[in-house]
Amino acid sequence: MGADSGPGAPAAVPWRKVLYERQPFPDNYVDRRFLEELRRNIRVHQYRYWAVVRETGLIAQQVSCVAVFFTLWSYMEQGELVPSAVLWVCLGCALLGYGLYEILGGFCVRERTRLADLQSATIFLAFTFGFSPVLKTLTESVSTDTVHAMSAVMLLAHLVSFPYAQPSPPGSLSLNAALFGSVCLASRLPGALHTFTMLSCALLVFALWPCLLHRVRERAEWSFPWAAVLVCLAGVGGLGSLWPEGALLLSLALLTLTLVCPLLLVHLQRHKDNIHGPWDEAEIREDLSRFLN
Amino acid sequence: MLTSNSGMNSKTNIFVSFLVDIALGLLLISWLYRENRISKLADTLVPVADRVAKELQELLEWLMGAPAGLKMNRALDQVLGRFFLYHIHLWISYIHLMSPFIERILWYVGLSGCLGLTFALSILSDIVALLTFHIYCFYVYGARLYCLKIYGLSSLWRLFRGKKWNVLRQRVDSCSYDLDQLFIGTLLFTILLFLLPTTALYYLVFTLLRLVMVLFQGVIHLSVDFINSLPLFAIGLRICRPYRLAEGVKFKVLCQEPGTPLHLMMEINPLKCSSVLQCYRTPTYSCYPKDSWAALCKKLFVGELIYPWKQKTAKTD
Repeated sequence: MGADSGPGAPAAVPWRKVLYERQPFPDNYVDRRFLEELRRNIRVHQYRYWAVVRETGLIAQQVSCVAVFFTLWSYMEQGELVPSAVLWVCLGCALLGYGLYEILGGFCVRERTRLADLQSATIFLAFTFGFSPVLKTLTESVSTDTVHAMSAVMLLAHLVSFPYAQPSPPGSLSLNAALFGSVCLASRLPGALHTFTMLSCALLVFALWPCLLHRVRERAEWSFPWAAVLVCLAGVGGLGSLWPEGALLLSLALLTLTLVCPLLLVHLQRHKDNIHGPWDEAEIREDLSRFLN
Repeated sequence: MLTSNSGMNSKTNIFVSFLVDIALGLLLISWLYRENRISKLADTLVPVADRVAKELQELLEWLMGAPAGLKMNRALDQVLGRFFLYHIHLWISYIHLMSPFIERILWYVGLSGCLGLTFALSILSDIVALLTFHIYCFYVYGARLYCLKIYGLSSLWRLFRGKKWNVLRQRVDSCSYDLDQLFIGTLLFTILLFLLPTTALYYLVFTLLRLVMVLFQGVIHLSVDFINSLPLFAIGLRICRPYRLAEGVKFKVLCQEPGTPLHLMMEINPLKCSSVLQCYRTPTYSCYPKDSWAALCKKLFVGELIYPWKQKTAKTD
């Protein structure tokens, strides 16, 4: 590149790649070690197919969570579920989940006391119960199509912005979008108690379940795929009882997500071309006039 | 010549304006007290106030329905509408309480016109402000509610995205909130967002009414200002004795012969009328609009209370 036809460069003085010394070479001169320090793809992760499939279980189960929530809402809207029964079930699930969380945590040092947890739970319940009449009449004047569209967009935003890498402190935008969507849906239900029940379910499904799942993944790695599969089956089954074509679509989407997308990822890894290392200045020797005309 | 006389001129201007003002005021009084016009005015005042209150009531009933086809949140609509209707009811009772004393008060107030037309106009502006006090109250209530809502919405929108306002650095920073903060914040954000159209409509209606009043008061104040600052003496001087106000001199050649000295005649160039007005305008405690249009629009949008005709506290030239 430069060593052979150097402009009158004396061969006695070797060139060093420093600029703080006055050398007989021009500033942009590089000898035959041009781009020697260039490295390609030094940090590329080699994915294995089944490991990636295991990780996508998290995304699939989150999509199924949304489907489960939608199923619950549909049944409550049609009036086939009594809100008080759902409330008791939610309470039971919450206590069960809390117990499981404690057991898996191993009763070690916790950053929040039980009193703080109780306080949080009381605040949730009090606020939701107090605001449920207001929330019920919130979207009365908005047309049904708009409400459905808004909830769909918000739940989609929740799925897109979910912190899949670190789900334990729930990401602000994802949780807020999910709650906003669930408030929009819950305001369409027939009574204030229905609204309260729906919001409690939303809290369980979108805020508390990811924390529990994260704890399960950390402590009992073997059970995570089974939990994910269970949630997916619940989502598909619930949707299927309402709308069979929807269940078919959901299962297709989940299969694509879990099996096809990892294949694509692994397949496209070999096209990766990252370069690392310091830059060297190049001197253009070609005749560029053919580009200029 | 201008500077040495300007002190005398400004004092004379003020004196002449004052005299003309009083003359106009006395004219107004003589017109007003003839033919028992005061009592007629007092008689029409209470029905006019009643009429205004009734119009407001009808406006509120319209807002409580479905105004212009817009669908409002029914519960909040009813609450706000009933609140304002009760205020109007209080106001009408107040007016009816005052009605026996109106004629006497007007009679004495009209006498103050002998202090000048500007005084009478200012009193008129104050009377109008008193009569439309309930519109001002409604505006303040609506603006405060709207301002609170906008402030809450902007803060909760930052919480929605997971950010918060850093007061120290005056910028928006990311923040990791607790679960309960997120939950309650989102609930409140949803509620405020869906109740925004209703509040905004009430705010808009009352702000428009208030702006009409402000415009009327502004017109009166501007005319008072105009009367006070018109340099009548200087204009009179310009018309009658133009050589007293000079802009420069003109030279005319009288005789120009080779043996004799040059004879020139000097004539004074009188000041143009527009410059007379500009130079000799009396500086007054004028009330110019305090904010530019852009600042006013921004204040209206955010819900800050506007007082566009604030008086200047220091006399400026």
